Amino acid sequence: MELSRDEVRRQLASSQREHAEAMPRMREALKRVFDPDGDASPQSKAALLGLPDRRGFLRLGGATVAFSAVLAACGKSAKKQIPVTGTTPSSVPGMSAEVYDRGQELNVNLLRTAQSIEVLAVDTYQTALDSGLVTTAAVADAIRVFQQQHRDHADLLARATEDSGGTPYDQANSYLQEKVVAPAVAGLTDEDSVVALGLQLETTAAQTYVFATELLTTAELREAVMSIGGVEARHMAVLYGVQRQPQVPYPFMPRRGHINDKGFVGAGSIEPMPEQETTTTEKTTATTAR
Amino acid sequence: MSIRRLVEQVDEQHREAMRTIADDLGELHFGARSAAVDESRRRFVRRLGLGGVATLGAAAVSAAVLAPAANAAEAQEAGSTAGAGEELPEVDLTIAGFAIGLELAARAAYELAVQTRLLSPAEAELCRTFAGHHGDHADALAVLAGEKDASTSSPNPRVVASVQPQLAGASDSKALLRVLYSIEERAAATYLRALGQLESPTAAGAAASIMPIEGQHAVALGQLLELPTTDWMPAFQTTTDAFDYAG
Repeated sequence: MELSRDEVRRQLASSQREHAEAMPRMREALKRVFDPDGDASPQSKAALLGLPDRRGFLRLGGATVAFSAVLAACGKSAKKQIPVTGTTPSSVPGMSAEVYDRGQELNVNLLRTAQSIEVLAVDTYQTALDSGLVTTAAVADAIRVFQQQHRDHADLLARATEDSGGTPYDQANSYLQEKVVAPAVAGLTDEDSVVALGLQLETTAAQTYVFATELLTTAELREAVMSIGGVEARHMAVLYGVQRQPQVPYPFMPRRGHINDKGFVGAGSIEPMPEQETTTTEKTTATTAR
Repeated sequence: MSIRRLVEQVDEQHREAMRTIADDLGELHFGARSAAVDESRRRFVRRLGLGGVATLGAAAVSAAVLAPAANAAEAQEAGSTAGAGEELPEVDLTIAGFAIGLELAARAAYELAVQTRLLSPAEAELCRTFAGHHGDHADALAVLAGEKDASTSSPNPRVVASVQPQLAGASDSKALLRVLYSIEERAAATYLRALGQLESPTAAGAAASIMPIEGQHAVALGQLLELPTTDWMPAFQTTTDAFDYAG
């Protein structure tokens, strides 16, 4: 998957022009926000950025600790269980099972949805390779590498789903297939259109992982999904380069391109919460699959 | 590809960048999200039925479930009693502080590379761009930690000590870029390691939005250096060679 040095340099030149134009404006906007001589209060600056003020932020942080603590209060199990992060346990009588189920349901839904995106990527890249439209050897090599990596990602997500008490979802995401891939495949005309479709899928995947990071309830799962999300971002950089676009167009990975909520596949059947000594709440099996 | 089409592509990209710049700025400091993103999260949470938890009377629980997925106001309306921890978790503060120093050290490394004049104009411009990204990361992390920006912070001395000799010993552009590539790979690994330890979802979200960018920097530099694909395109991001923020 080697691109020639001249190719890279051509991409680079394009990238620099783009950045040279865009970055001053972004910096100017930031400067206005954070101008030390400005009369904007910290609160108004935070509000301008949409950021809760520090007190509000800490309340969010506190809430997080509280949730983790409640999960921790669910106790340990010799069986597979969602690992927890947290500080001092703070029990909420009668709520442990409910909270545990909600967190588990959320995690499993996210993992299964991510797996469905990976499977879709594998299938879509195969369609692209079979189409005969990819004529550049380096691009075809890249697609094969990406495709294999998506298979690896799907496998990891399946294991993570099982470890979280869920059932892996080994089908392609039907929502994205119907709304994005099928129309795009129908309109494929050349290698450029194949690359554009690949970039669209990789972007959706990468941004969905970033989005999921703030929702997953354990640090272990956050690390696991971002070990994948970071690679999808690398795929993006390569495809941007093939398109002769800036390879790193933004200083932060946005979230706005995450999969539409209609594309979430549900949590399916979930292994019930292990028996706890600290709670009398009956175990339940949550089923939200669509 | 014709020049005209290339120009059209660049123009389109530029227009898109400008159209979305407000959104990017909104996201730039992590806690900030566009209304559309917030609404998306709220819809997602509602679809899961998590909002119903609020009616069960465990205020802290409902707020905790909702907080990462919705905005602060919604969480507070749910009756949050959170606040028992009026500080970011200590581990998050430690990691954020280290990351600020790491970002500033990375920025300084790029600036130093440019100053050597060993780089071609295109390479130098790339380095300036990536230096700017690292500065943006440092500022955003500082905001996360409750500071105005990163202006009162310094490059992490341990990171500087680990890369300065290599930069000083670089005799050509390839050697310089190789050092910068290594920094990017190690930074990405560091953020992944941090993700396994950060307690606050907000802080984790910050790390998650930065880590992919360090990886993309590595791809650009790896391709420029014509390194083997397996170097800059691993199947999974790992924590190998992460900088040690605990020491």
